[in-house]
Amino acid sequence: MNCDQVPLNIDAYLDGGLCESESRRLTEHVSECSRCSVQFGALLRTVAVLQDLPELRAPDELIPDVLQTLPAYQPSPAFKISTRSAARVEWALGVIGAVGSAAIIVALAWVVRQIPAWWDSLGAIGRVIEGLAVKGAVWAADAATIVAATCGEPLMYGLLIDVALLAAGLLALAVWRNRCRPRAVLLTL
Amino acid sequence: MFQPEDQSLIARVLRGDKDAFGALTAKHRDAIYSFAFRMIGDREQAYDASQEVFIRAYTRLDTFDQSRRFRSWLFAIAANICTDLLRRRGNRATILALDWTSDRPEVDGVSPLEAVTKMDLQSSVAAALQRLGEAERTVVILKHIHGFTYEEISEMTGMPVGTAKSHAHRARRKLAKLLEQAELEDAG
Repeated sequence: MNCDQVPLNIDAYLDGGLCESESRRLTEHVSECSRCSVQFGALLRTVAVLQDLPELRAPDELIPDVLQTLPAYQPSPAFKISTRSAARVEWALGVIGAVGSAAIIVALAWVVRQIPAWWDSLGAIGRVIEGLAVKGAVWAADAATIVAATCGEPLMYGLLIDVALLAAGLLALAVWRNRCRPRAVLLTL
Repeated sequence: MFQPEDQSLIARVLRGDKDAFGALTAKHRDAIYSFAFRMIGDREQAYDASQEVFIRAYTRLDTFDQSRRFRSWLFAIAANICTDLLRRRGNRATILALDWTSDRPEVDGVSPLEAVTKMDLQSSVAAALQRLGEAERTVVILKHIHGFTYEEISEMTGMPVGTAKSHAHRARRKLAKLLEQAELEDAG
């Protein structure tokens, strides 16, 4: 080891990042080199003094002062579902609502599809059922949102999933009803 | 004396047990106060900062990831609060010829002369810490006084591990030089 390599090696040594053989090479060098020895000694001593600094004792009134101040900041956590738990509930309810909405759309569309007269004519009843499919999905999304809203935080995640899946469901319905007719799909939407 | 684990105390606090938070504060108050005092260099401000650390910890306890060490999380809050305070006052050094080590425990097993020398050395280092930049001071205190790893410091402060190491290396060199100067002044 030469003197140029010593500073980097001292840093690594003090960080505990030198292996046994590298440490030995460093200590061998500093024992023979007075300049590096001074540098090494000064840094070793600095770290030793830092590590030896005593832990100060906090004033006794710290705990009573902290406890006395707490109620002004937040009601007892016992009366509130934690943010983390609420987020999980939001996600679960949002996903349930969204899946429910999609299932209602698909089921009602399937029913419509099974009745040739309704499907072919797309008369008044078909339109009513299609309307119900949309309304059912919206109600399911609303219900999920309202239930989840009782958990505390605004439920944007669940609501967004609902809206996205509702849109996807409507798109799927339109595509299915107007297969191979992209223009008709657009018109339907 | 048996001290309940942080995790069980946290669970009790989350169930609304405020006394458990008192126990949690008691367990960590000296470490947090020491950190704040060495960062800020002023007893009154260190006290206020420590109080703020525990109040902020309480109000955010439900966001604490229990897979982490509570001590690291608390120190992260403390580092944040002390850094804000230092920035607000322009990182002015507070170098006071005061009783830096007056709260130290008795020095056992050494001669009075050795004890005085040791106290002088500790006072010099404590004062020298105040001459470091805010980031260097934070890293060197967390690393060498409170024994955190660079990875933990990186997680606490948001700085990359390499940056934390660079700060520590620079800080050690500056402190060694300041210590040397202080000794020369004392000798002169």
